[in-house]
Amino acid sequence: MELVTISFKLNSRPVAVVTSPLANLRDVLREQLQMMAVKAGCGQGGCGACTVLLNGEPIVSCLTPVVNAQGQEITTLEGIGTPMRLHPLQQAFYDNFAAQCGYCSAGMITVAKALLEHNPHPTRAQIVDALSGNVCRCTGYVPIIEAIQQAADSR
Amino acid sequence: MAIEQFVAPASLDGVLDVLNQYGPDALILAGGTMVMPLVNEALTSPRVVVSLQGAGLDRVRVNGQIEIGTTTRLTRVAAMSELPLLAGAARQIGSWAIRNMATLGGNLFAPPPSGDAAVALLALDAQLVAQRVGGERVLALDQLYTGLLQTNLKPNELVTSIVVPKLRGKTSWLKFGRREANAPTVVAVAARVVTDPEGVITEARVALGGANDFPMRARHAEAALLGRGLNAESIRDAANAAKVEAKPFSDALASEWYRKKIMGICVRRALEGIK
Repeated sequence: MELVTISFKLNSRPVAVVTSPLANLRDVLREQLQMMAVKAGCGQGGCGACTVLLNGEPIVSCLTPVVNAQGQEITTLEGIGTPMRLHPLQQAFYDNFAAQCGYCSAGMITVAKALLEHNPHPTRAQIVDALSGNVCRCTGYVPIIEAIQQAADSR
Repeated sequence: MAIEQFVAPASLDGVLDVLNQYGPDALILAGGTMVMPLVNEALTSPRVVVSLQGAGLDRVRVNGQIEIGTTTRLTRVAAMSELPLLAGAARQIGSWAIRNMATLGGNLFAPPPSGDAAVALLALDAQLVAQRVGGERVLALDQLYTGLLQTNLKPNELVTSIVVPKLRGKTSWLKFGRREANAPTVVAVAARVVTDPEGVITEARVALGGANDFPMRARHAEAALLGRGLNAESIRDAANAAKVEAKPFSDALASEWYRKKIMGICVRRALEGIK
């Protein structure tokens, strides 16, 4: 396969990468663009650790051929908040001890951000439903759900 | 062996040309949820991967019947209030992120017991438009599958749209999985009945997932409903018939025995849930 140049907006800034068109977006984000919040989990679309936003909507980057990002807008956790300026969702995760090992947190927060854009005041059931593609093996989910609830309530 | 070539034609005609040239050596890429697991692990080496991204097939036309372009995302299908049965089935496929990627046309070719959309579409008498260079044909979804991952499509044909007739009667959808959301199907049931003013069933559809090597209609169950009211007796007979005609399989989710055991229960619950 011939390499191609793919251009897209990453966290509001234009980027271009030379890559195989069928490389997955997760690997390109991590290895070529140093977006290390994008975690490599199952590689099958089942765990949600690699979730990013495509034009504001959650997708799993491990199953997204990078060519599908051409001309689109991609948001990773790095574009949601920074250590110096936490997004309210990140602050709520911190306050509620919603991260233990932290591997799922980026995906969880990314999905939660999209959820709150669509639905600023979700019910607990709607939060659970939105998170159903994101696996956490530490917390039992309760602190995560409560953190998202808190972030929504504080808006 | 590596994938030799990737092409993303800017038109449907371009895609059809590639399929015409490469036939079975072409792998069609739409949402990526089925193809990318294979590509990532180098488990497939077609001569060419052809993307549907530029083919213009992400569209819905409502004109009495509903024509859904093959690359319409499941998120959009899940919001189609005209077709509560199909929307309900789509809503339960994968996670939110997966539904934002996966396409309705792609789901028709998912390995069983995945492929809930076809179960719903069978109960809705859906038809498929298959296009090829220089022609097209319409085939009933009911005529698509011939075996495990086998279909009646020719290698140069592409399903470009799924056509659902205007909804007649009342419907029900039931998916039995190991948890509520983002769970693979153990057994799925789609049902539709049309009744006359006296409440006698004049048309019945019962479709099953996880019941065979491909989504199937339970014709004996349908026959058990015809000419009768939808009541405890007719539902029991239909459920028993479906249980007999289902030929389920064992996999990591459930055994053949278990699927058989719950098939009748799922059909009964689906029929009781018709509204």
